[in-house]
Amino acid sequence: MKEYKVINIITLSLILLISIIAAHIENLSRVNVVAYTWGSRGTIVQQIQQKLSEWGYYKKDIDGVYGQDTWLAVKTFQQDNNIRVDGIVGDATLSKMGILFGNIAYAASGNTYTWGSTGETVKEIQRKLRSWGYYSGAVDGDYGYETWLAVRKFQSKNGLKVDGVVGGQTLQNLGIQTGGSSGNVSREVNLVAAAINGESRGEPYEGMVAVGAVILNRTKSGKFPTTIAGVIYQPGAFTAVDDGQINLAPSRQSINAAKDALNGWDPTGGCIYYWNPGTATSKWIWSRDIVTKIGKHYFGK
Amino acid sequence: MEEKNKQEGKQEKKDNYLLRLKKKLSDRHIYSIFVVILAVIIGIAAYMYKQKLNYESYLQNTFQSSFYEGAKYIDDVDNLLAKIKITNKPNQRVRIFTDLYREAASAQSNISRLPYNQSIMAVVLKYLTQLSDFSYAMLIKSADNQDLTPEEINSMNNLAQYATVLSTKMSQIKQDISDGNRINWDEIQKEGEANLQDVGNANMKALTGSISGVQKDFQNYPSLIYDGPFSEHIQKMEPEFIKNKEYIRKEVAIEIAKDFVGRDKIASIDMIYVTSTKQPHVIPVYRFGIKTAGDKNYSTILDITQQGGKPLWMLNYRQIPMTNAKLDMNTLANKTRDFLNKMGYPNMEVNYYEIVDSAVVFNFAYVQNGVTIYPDLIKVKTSLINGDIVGFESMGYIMTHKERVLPTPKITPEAAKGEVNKTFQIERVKLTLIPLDSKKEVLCYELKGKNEGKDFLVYVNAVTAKHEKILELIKNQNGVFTQ
Repeated sequence: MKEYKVINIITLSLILLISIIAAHIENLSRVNVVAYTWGSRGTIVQQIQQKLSEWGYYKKDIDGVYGQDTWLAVKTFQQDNNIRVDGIVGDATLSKMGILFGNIAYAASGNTYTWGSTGETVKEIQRKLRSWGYYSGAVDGDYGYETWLAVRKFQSKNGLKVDGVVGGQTLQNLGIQTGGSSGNVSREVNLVAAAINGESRGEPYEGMVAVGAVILNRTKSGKFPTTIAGVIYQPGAFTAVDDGQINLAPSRQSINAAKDALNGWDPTGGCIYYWNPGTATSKWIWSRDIVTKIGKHYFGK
Repeated sequence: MEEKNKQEGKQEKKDNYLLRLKKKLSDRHIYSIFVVILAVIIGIAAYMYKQKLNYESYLQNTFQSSFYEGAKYIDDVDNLLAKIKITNKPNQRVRIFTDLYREAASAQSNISRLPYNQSIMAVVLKYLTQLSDFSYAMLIKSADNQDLTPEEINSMNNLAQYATVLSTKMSQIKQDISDGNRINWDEIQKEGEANLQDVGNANMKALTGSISGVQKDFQNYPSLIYDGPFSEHIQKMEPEFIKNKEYIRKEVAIEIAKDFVGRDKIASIDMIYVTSTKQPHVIPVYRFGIKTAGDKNYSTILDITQQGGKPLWMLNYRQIPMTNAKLDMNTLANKTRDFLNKMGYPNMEVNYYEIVDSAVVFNFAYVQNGVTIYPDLIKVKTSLINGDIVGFESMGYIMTHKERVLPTPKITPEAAKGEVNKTFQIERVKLTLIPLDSKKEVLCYELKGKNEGKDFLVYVNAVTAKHEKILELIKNQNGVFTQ
């Protein structure tokens, strides 16, 4: 009996200790998510939805947001495959779905391509690698094991960081220009998308475009820094920047909204401020004229 | 009674438990384990606290350096503005305006990194931006050997006065610091979150480093009009296309919205916002949300201007599936142009398109007597899959469109070609009306050509033969210049 209590106290203290350390590590490095559930976002979630819809479990939009519909679909999928039915897409579920390395969670969004990436750009990567003899597989637009090996080979030959992730530098070395790095819709897409992602969670799409438009309007107003990065990282300007949410991988929708905003769509008609009337702490902001209201946000000049 | 017994029993049990716990704690083994664990926790806490201090001082130092640099540039600006009053020839001013332009921009960028509150920031940053922008406009003017007008001299004197206000404030803060006070940027940031209406009050105890006090000095800051993108007149521009048109009722607007989107595509339509018409410099709109059959949420949002009843922007954000089947670009462009024509935008011509995922964004400009009018811009986003119009944006067109009286070119296209370096291989020349940064419109020959393998557009003023702009065309697979 006594022994039992001792162990009890020790375990309790250890749990406490571990949770402190865990909290500390989490705080310092914001470790990547290794499982996906309610509220998860990003390209892996998109892939999960894609797979589920291919097999008929999921019938809603493939938007990369893990909501109720995805949850239900995942549970049914787990039931059918004898995986613990918890609605959490972890290791087992991912491997059953055939999404490899999904749990490593490279923030494979925007302009990076790695395991599990698909599409035109992947095809282009394969084509180039093939023409230079690094790759001998099929040009099918599916980033799999062979592509991964080829990319690594290419990276080591070209003095790049050998990680199998095709990002900005590797793309440049491959001579591939992507939608993200061109014309009006320029390199800034990722930055604006990240800000939109952090600032307008749960807002309607036009509300996301509007947040992007406000960022761009600020660069032109003179009352703010004159560059996009300057505006986004201005101290105290955006809560998502202050609390680090801007570092999350942006959702597909945020990227689209950023592109629309950079292409000139402005649902706010030139506003440079917005605030949530439920949470805005500064009284001064209420002295602004309300030009429009979208979702939960008020927009003003 | 039974209940009471039960409670007492519980109490007894609890007492027993506490007693046992106390006994156990006095047991040496457990005691030492407890102490070790406590020590480890304290150790970790101390380590974390130290790290927090490190980060904090790193952040403080970053703010500190931005502050001192910003203050230095503001001092320089103040001196330069005093110097420039002594000069009387354009060529003497060029150098000083160049310095002013640069130093004011540096001051702006340094101050913008500090955690001051939005209201004071808006005032100070706007001043520094305008100063830099104004200096640039004056620099261009002086380089053309033109003298400043009396109004410009007046603006400059005004600007100088505010530079002194700011520079004095900065010296005060520096004095305060050398008196042993320290700027606590954390406090400064909190000041921003506090009730901002009180901050401007002199009654409040001023924080070391706060610049909120200058807000009242800037109350009479004049609106500055000059040839630059941050000049006040740009904010105050009126929408040429609709400014003399009638305001329409919402019943009329809803019909326009239906026609624009296509009645067959609409399952339901709601008005979701109406802009108040009382605010200055805002284009009031009726906003409609549209659902197609089977939609839970709105899939299309459309703004119709209250004045004139013109569609301002439209977005359909149903995700277009990725496929390889793509329509021919010429067919798409023609189809889109026909759509614009039908909607009451004749004589529009595609200049540029850019493929964004599964859609293409066409930039259309108005053509008047064969001259491309670039300010009258409409962007249309068309699905590559089926040619549906999924986006529309006409702010440019609404702000500037009118039938213009175009000046007659004073130089020939051949003469314009002579204005560029011989290595520049010209592929074609056309007459265009382009907006300058100040939104002033000038008639230019647009020379498209190559230099050292790169594509450029050179704009030569068709009246004065002056180079107005040189643009490099960055080549990429998604963006294409069509003419």
